[in-house]
Amino acid sequence: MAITLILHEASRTGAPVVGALIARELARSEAVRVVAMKDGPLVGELRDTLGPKNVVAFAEPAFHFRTSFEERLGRAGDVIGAEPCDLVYANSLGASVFALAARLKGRKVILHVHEKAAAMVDLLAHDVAKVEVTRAVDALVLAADDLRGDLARLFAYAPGEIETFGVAVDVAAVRRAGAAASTPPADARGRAFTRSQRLVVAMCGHASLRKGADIFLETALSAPDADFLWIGAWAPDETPDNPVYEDFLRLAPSNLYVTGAVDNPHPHIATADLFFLSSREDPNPLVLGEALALGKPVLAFSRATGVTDLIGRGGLLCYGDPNAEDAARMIRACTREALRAPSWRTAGDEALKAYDLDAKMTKLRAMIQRLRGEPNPAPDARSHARDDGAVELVFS
Amino acid sequence: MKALRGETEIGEARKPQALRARAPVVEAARLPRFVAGVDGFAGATLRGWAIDLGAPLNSVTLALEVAGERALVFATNEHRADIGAVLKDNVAGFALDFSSLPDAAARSIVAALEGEPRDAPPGAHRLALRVEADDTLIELRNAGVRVGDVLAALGHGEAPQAVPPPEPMRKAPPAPASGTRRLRWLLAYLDAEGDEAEAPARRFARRLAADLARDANLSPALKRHAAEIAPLFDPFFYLDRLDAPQEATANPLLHYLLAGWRDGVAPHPLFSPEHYRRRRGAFTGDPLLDFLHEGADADPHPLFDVAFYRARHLGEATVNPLRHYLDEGAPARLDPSSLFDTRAFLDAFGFGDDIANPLEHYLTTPACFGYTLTPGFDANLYRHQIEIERGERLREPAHVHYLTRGFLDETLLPNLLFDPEFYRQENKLDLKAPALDHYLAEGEAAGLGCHPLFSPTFYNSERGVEGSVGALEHALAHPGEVRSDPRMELALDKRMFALVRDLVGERGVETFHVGIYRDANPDLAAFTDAQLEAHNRSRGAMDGRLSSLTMLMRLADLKLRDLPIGFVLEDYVAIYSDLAHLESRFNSALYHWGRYGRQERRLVGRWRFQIADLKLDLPSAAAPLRIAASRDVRDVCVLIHAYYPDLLPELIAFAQNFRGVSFDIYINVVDLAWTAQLQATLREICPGAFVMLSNDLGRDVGGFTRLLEAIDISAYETFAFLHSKKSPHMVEAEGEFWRRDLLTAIAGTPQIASACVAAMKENPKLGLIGAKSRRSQEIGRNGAQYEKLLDLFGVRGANRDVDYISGFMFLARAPIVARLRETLRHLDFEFGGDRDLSFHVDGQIAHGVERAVPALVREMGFEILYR
Repeated sequence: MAITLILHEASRTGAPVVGALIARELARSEAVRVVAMKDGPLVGELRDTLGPKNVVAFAEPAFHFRTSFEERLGRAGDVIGAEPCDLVYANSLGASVFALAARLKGRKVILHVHEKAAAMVDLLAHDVAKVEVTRAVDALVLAADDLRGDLARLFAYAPGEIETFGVAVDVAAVRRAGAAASTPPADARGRAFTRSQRLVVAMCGHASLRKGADIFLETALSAPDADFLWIGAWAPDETPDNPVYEDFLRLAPSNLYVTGAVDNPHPHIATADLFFLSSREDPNPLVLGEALALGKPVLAFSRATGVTDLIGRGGLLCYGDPNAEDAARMIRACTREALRAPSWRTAGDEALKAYDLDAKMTKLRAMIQRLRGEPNPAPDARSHARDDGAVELVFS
Repeated sequence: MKALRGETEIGEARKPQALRARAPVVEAARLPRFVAGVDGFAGATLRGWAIDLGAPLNSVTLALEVAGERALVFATNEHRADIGAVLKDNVAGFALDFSSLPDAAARSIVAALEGEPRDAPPGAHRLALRVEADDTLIELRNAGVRVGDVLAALGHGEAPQAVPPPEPMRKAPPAPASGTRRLRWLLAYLDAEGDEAEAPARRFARRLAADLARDANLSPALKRHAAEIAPLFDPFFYLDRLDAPQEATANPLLHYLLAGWRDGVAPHPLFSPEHYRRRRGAFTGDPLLDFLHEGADADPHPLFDVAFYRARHLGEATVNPLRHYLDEGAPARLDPSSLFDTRAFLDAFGFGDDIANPLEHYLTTPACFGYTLTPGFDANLYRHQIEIERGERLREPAHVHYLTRGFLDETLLPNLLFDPEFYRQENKLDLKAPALDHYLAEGEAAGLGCHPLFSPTFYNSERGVEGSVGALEHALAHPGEVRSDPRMELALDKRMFALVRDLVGERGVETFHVGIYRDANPDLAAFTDAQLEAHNRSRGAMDGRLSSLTMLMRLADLKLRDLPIGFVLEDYVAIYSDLAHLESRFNSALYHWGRYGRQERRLVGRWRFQIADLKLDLPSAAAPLRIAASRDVRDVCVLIHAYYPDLLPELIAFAQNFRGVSFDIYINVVDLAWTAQLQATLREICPGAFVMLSNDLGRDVGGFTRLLEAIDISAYETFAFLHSKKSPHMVEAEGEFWRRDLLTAIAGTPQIASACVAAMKENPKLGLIGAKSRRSQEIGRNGAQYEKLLDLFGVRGANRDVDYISGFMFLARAPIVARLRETLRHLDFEFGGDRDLSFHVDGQIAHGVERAVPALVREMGFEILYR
């Protein structure tokens, strides 16, 4: 079966990394082509794995949301039609324009949803995704179970074929990467972080409101006896969405260090004693699995992720929306010695099983197997411009 | 007793000849209603007596007839000391002073007797004394009254020389003792016919049957019936058993045939219709007749064991065992059953050959009613419950009452350490026989507990004896020597046993008890015993000061079975600081408990904090509680809310009892108490459990609500709500007991937990299971919250009544939990982290929810099981 897997971007972050793993695994038995809607560091790795011919990456403007949806839809159709393709695997709602295009071309479609409700709304608001998309796909793969509810509320339809994939982690690879050398992070005054007896708390991601950069900063201020590492884009030139960059410079907390955008975040995670997911919304953050793979206890809030059960059984789960007050209280109640108790590690290792790639791929392959056979019939769907200029898709 | 002279049988009423001829049999069949007699003349006064057997204490009107005409009518009006032994308040005597008779009467007597031989008795046609009501004749001759005596009394010559009355009349009657036995004495004494050696009752019954046989109005079948049962019918005993014996005095046997057996009245001391019916099973008609015809293999009385008697004394003989015993066995001192040891009974009272039938004597002699047949039966205690507490007359030995019918009433205690209801329920017995018998026969050997605070096995182990046999007997004989329950640090308090002994000894009379008075009046501590008694007489009684155990029980409204035998004075005054003044005052503290503490649910000892058979298998790192592998739908979702994290091991231990079913555990820890070390420990002792931290909002109810947000409720059938209840406003141990009490009801043991889950599965209407002991209707300061919540839940009508489990720990079915979550998640719970104790005691939303949940359950159409 010829499968085209679409990444909405090729960064080394959550959804793209999962997509890349899936592509690599599927390529063992299928003809897999990867299309990255936005070029990034993953592309090189993918080309090494799949072969240069099988990886296509676009410069950002090609599928930017400022480009009209119809144009993006047509472009996506062209990409799909350029090579043999039986099934399109759209690896996020951000790549769902390919799902619609594939359906219009009569291809089988799988949509892998990583986004939680707020992100879904955001994508719909920016015309990146359409509400018709769930009717257009043959199957859904979910990053977390509780996304079913979000999909039901926002899209009001879901196909019969749904699997929860969660997030997969290549544990061995993460641990190898974690052992690599790295440049130490620095605080607001440029002082390099040095490991001491103090507790080290880490978070990884592009600094933004969604990732809770503000919460992380406030927590650092409220827990001065611990050191905090932000691993990932922090400065405006890396991420224009950091809401507390100015505060960071102004307050210059002596216990908050940032790495800036890094290709390999794992050595920095490995430095920490506790991984604190400050995200306001992160359905199934890959980095949690990676932290667990590196043996780090994880702290998260129940309303921030779709994997509360996993954290409740294998990490440290606080009820409610993420907030600095509760986080700081928890962190102040932690000691390095206590966090190194074997039971923390044991619980984490048990939770890590949720990220086991082989088990997830088995389910995914079974789903693909069920979709084999005749291609979809000629689509009883049409797209046309509405009076307001938006494109309307109708699937019967 | 002084012998009465001149008693006369007056069965023959004076009737016109024609009337006698018309209905002689009927008249003959009637027993006399009146008995009367004449003592003779003392000077001019004729003394005598008359008794109406139907109303023995009433005055009897007599008539003096002269030459067939009434010359004088008078009534008995004097108390007779000799008859007083049998009729205490009688007015049976009369003293007729002939010297002061009306002239007309005196003249007519003289006229009638003039010329008659002075040494001869006056003929009745000349001078007769009769009972006015039925004209029965009182023979003057039987008292040796002669014509000369009468005339001398009237001033006509000297009285002839006195002669003794006839010998048979001088025989002293048997001493009667009580109530209808007085009638028995009178009637037996009247029966001058028959074999002197034969028991009066037997003679009497035979005579009654003969009377009936002559009665033309009775059917042949009834006559046969009478004749057949007469040998086993004791009319005296029968009359004694009747509530209105005067109705049967005409012919008790006829009364029995027509009404008595239908009313279940016993016809003989050794025949108990109640017992016979239980042993015999289905039959119709008179049980005594059935026994004689068909039922000779069924025991006629709890103390007459047919099988035992046959095997021991009759061998192959086919004779009716009871008749054999009455005729031969009793005189030969044979044992009628294994329960009744004839020799032991006779020896206990020093009886010899004067007792014809030992068993019958035991059953009918009140002086013997206190005799017990087994060491486990406390006759005095039992008698107190019947006679003093219930005000019923005990007409048989206390032990026989228990064996015959008392055992059916489980509120009657055969001894202080045997609770029949507990024995049956605790050991799940289907008892047909008296519980105490069952215990002594097999229960004790099996180690069955017979009282909430008496375990025979434990008791014996404490006194270094293997097994459980003999424990109860020893404990009753040596009260308070050895511990009898593992929850108690000490043996039961001897003072309680002494109190019961003294109380029973008071026989319901509030007699001054110096110990009680001293105990109850510390202001009189310096007084001597004599001074205390004097004080009570002069002041205390008027002041209403506590002066007897009977008074204590009355004022505290206590019955024997209410007494908390596990009362530990030292604990009672230590647990409740307001009772410090009762230190060392056992009786007063007990009085306080009865009067106030009981209503206030105060605990009588720290042992109450220990729950029997509660063996908490606390999880550890070496032996953790592991959550079983996931299944689509699990039986139980255990929700644990921990405000006090030190209780988490205990709560997990209770949760562990669900290991017989599939289960999962969700734990909410209040974040103020959280540490990383606590989390590490939790992971060690309960790996795989879901653990979440949250603020102290809404107490346990808030914690559960937050946990439920993270749970797919449809994945579980039942939810168990457990939390770290400490109730710091109470005594620490009491709070602990409350918590464990709640938890024990739903998860005290693996068996309990599994049984509760099974109950949910078997009964789809069952929605909630909780502790019966914590069921409450108190609304407290939560009325407004409660009403608001019921509105939110849509609860209507009678379902709005307050009836809930105080403590919010229970099992609830998933649909109820889902409905709860949908409402509770929108409530704005209060933050308790910075509030003082008074805030937490009552009046929060959580307290309203606690009360409202069962109402929701009822509204949803589910049932609630309080266990």
